Amino acid sequence: MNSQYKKGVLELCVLALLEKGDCYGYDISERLSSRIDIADGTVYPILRKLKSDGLVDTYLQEESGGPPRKYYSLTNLGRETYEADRAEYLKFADAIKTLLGGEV
Amino acid sequence: MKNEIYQTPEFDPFAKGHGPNILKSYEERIISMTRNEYLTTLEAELRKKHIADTADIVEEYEQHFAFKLADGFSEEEIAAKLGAPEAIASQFEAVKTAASDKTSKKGGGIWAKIGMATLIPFEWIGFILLFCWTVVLGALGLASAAIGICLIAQISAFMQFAALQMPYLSALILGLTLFALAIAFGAGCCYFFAFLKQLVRADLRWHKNVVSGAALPPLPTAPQLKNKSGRALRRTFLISTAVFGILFVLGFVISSVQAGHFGFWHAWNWFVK
Repeated sequence: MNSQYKKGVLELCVLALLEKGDCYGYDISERLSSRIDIADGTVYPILRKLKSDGLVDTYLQEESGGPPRKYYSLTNLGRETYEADRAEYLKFADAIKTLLGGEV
Repeated sequence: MKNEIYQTPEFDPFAKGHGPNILKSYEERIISMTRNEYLTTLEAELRKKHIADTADIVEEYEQHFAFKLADGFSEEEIAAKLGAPEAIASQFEAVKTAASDKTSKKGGGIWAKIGMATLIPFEWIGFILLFCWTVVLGALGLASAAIGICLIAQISAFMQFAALQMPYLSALILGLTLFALAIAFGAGCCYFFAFLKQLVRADLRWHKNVVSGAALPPLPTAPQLKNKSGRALRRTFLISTAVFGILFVLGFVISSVQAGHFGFWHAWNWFVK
């Protein structure tokens, strides 16, 4: 698949993962790259961007036997943005499906 | 979502043209990078681009290595899968530029702050009034429902206290009329409560944007009911109002017929103590 298609929805995917619960960075990167073919390192800049936009927040949590992990969680603004963007994207995807003629 | 950062070519690892090629040539070069080489290069690249919290970022990649190593991958494999440090640093740089573009829209000056602060008491007087109105609607709803139930169930204490003599048919219809009215009031109360809630949220967001220049999207002031509950609320209100109207007329006619007088309340000696 043309990798052009993937661009732009990665942020939405990250928000979607976080909507289900707080995650640490590696967790997100693994879950994303297990389904989408991207460089693992791409996830961290996205997380940073989401944080600088105020969509996610971070906190440190101690783990047994290891350095504290940095967890990411959605802010209220992030949740709002996710709901809105998700609806918008699904509508868009629906339209494309129709245009390409036929159910997948 | 605004995807402005993807429009910068360095950030977009998928862009046609030079994007993937850059990645590929990087990937070939870093195939033999060890963990330490990778992290050192990344740190140097980040510093070169003057990116804040470099240590923080590098730590996250360090952890990535730690997790992957625990899963049995080799350092070189992990480095290759991460993508070239140069490309990663560029992606962080794109974020930085996007963020500083945003903060360059500065917050309001001192006058804007004073102006906004002056507005607050007036706004809150409005909010409190609206809240009182919501409470009144709720109270009216509860009172109507209570009287309606007393009339329908012919609760004797109430009937004696109110001294409303009437045949049971009239009492039943009057009770149902009040019950319909109670439901309409209840729906109104819910609506105004949702409205007030959204109004306060939108107002707070607006203050935040003006005072700190946060540039968050403004919130709508109309109540944000889910489509389904919004429709249900509207339907409830319309139906209960219609039922109220019909029962009111019906009750008036039936009571007048039973009393043999248009002013049935005179015939039944209401409101006379």
